Amino acid sequence: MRRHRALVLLMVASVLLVLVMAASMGFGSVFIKPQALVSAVLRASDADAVNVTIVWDLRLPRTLLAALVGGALATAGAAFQGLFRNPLADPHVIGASSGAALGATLAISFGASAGALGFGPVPLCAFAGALATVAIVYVIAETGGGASVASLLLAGTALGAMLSAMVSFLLIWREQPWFHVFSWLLGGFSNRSWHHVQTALPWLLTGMGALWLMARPLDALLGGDDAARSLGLPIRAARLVLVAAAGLAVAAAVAVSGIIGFVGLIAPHIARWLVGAGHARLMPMSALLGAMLLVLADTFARTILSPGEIPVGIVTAALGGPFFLYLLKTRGRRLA
Amino acid sequence: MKAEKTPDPILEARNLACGYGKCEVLSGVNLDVQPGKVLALIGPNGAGKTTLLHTLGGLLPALGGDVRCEGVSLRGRHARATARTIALAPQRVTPSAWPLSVTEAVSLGRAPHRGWFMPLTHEDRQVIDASMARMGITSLAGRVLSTLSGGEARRVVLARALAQTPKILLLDEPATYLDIKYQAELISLVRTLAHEDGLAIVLTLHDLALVSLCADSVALVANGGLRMTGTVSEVLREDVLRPVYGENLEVLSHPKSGMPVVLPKIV
Repeated sequence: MRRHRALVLLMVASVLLVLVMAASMGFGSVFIKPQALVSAVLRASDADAVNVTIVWDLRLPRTLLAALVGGALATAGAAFQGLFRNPLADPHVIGASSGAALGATLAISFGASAGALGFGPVPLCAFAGALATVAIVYVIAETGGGASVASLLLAGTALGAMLSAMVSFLLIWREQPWFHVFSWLLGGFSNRSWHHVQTALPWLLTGMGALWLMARPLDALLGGDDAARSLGLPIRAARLVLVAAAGLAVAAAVAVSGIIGFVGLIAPHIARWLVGAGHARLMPMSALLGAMLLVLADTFARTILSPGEIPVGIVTAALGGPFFLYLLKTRGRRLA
Repeated sequence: MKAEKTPDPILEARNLACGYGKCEVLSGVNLDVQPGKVLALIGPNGAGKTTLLHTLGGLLPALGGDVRCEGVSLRGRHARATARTIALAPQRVTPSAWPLSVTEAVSLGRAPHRGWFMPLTHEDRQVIDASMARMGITSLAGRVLSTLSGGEARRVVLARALAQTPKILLLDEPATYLDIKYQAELISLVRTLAHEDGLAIVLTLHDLALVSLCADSVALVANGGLRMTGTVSEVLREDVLRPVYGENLEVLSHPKSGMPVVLPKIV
């Protein structure tokens, strides 16, 4: 019964995501009616050439990127909440985003110009910064005396604070890039193109796929390390795979979109309320909800002050926050 | 006694030292666990009963000496291989804020057999159903762990251990949180699993009143080692227990079975 309910909910969420993405492509400085949108997406013979250009060159890659990033952040958030058995855990909890922020700030401040792996200079530095930070946090936490998830959490928080201090210092020291850095830190999808989708896609999918495969080990870890070990789970190896996969997904997401908060925190909570705590269903549901939320937030971010736009991170926190508080108040006992 | 041939132990500790990192809790432990028998580990709070149980189950690496399961050392053995033979029901039930459903929790017991990535087979489902039926939790299948009472949650943990279809069952304080009805059910289940299904069972008990009801032999853990191993009537004696637990206990003879029953003595 529960299984079937979850399957139905997953299908409903998939259909909703497609509708939300379609709506997102319709809205903007030029409104495209549903019928025109469909023919533009299909490049039908009767499609308006301007619409085809708007849809294929501007809105489709942007919407796809928002959906992918939202899905990756939510999947990583669900994995971290399960790994740390902590409802406050989010994708940024082990320092990936602070590392990305420092990398990006350095690149912007010193005018880095070399890219690699398809990343431009700033995303490349952010990607590298995020991965390096996760690696350092992991090594410090796992080689310490009482290696546990708590040491990962603490090492991530401590290193995150250090890196944030460095970012602040750089911003004050080199005044000019202030606006550029700040808007990057708040996250957004303006001027994102197919290029960004192509660059991030393999990393995002690898990370999300690996996390989904780890669903059953995560279930075992919910019962505590002892219980998981007694089921024959090699705890350290499982932790390494989880941290590496989530770190990869978050690093790639942050590299192409900046630091977007909140989606990775609330999507897993809503998903858990819908399909339960078992990660085999929680992971895909979180990904679908995260994608939906971020596409909605991005649509809002680029239409509310049209033709200007605001960083999507402001929207996710400003709208996601009250929504989450409402859920917490009305269904708090089932969420936490 | 010598005339009766004792079967080979399925699990044995030889000069075993156990503890955490550099902190040794127990040393020089020699212990044989026989199939079809129930062994109770008793001892004061903090004596190291759980530490010993976890080392016997391969959850903690031995600091010295060796644990051998079916003649093979647990050292360097793959955790999953160990979990196919030895199941441990931990003391703490579920520290998680977002618990699984009862079925999901019990299903995890198949992971040592099926692996972490393969879907469960029809046979796995049958084992899961049978384990749940055996613990009387079939009607709880769809409930989530956080909504269960302490005793119900404890039975879920036991059902998961049974779903591992182990040869050796290690139970850490299985009677905790159980009211007297379920204590009685638990004790008869433990005896059935050992005496009829042939499992080797090791359990820790802090309630000495239950020891003679379920155990075939008793090991007394105290002062950094095994103080004594023997039958129930050899270990449950005032002159053995008082040096360890203090003077405020007395050993009575059960009016029906004649077995020793240890009770606190109120002065």
